[in-house]
Amino acid sequence: MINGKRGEEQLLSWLIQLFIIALFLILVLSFVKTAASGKLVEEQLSAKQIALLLDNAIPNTTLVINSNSIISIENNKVKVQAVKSATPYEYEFYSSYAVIPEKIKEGVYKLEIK
Amino acid sequence: MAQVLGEDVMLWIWRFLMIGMVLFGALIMVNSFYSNQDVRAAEALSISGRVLDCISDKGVVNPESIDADNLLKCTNINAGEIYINATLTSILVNKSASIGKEFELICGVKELEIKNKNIYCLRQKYYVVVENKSATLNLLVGINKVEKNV
Repeated sequence: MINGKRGEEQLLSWLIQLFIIALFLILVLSFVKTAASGKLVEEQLSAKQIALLLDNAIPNTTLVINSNSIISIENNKVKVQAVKSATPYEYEFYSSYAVIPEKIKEGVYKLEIK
Repeated sequence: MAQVLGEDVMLWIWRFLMIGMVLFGALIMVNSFYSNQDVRAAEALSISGRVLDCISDKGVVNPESIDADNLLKCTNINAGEIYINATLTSILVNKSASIGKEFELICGVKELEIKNKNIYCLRQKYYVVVENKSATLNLLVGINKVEKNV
């Protein structure tokens, strides 16, 4: 009777351990999946891509960008702020042409290079 | 009985500590791998192309355009982060101009294009024409921007 009770305790203990380990693994794998899909660096990627586009753009070019983040241009810096993010990600571009950003509608921005 | 339970608890803690360490290591590695995207190579190529377009007209270079003020006008760079050196070598004239922070020494010891942990260097050689004679134009672009890219 005592041995049986001890066996039950051990089985329960193992099950709890397995559950916790599986939970940890699921959390880590979901983080890896999010990181690998680029969601963690979405703002950064958008800012850098826009900066590179502006660096290579010639005057009288219009760029139309679809983005769920807020895009702005200030002092030769592209600022991209995701809805959930507290601060925008900034990246500098060197183009000397004037860039006029305009929000056409929700999620669509127009950048005119003059 | 109490002793057996104590051993169990110790084993629990030990096991979770080990698993925790492995998973924490994985998290750190994934985070460091995906946290920064290095775009300095594309940026350096873009700057190099712009400088070339600015100081040459269809491959013909006027030596007067190899000038720091002109380079600054061409690129509008942030001098603290980017360095540009243009060197024109021909039988008739040798001329060199630089703008930005001096990265030449760091880039000089490296080969054509090597990603350094600190500074990205791009060295390009163009064959151009100066007063109907062949010449070479060497462009060196060094980009710091470590915080945002590495």
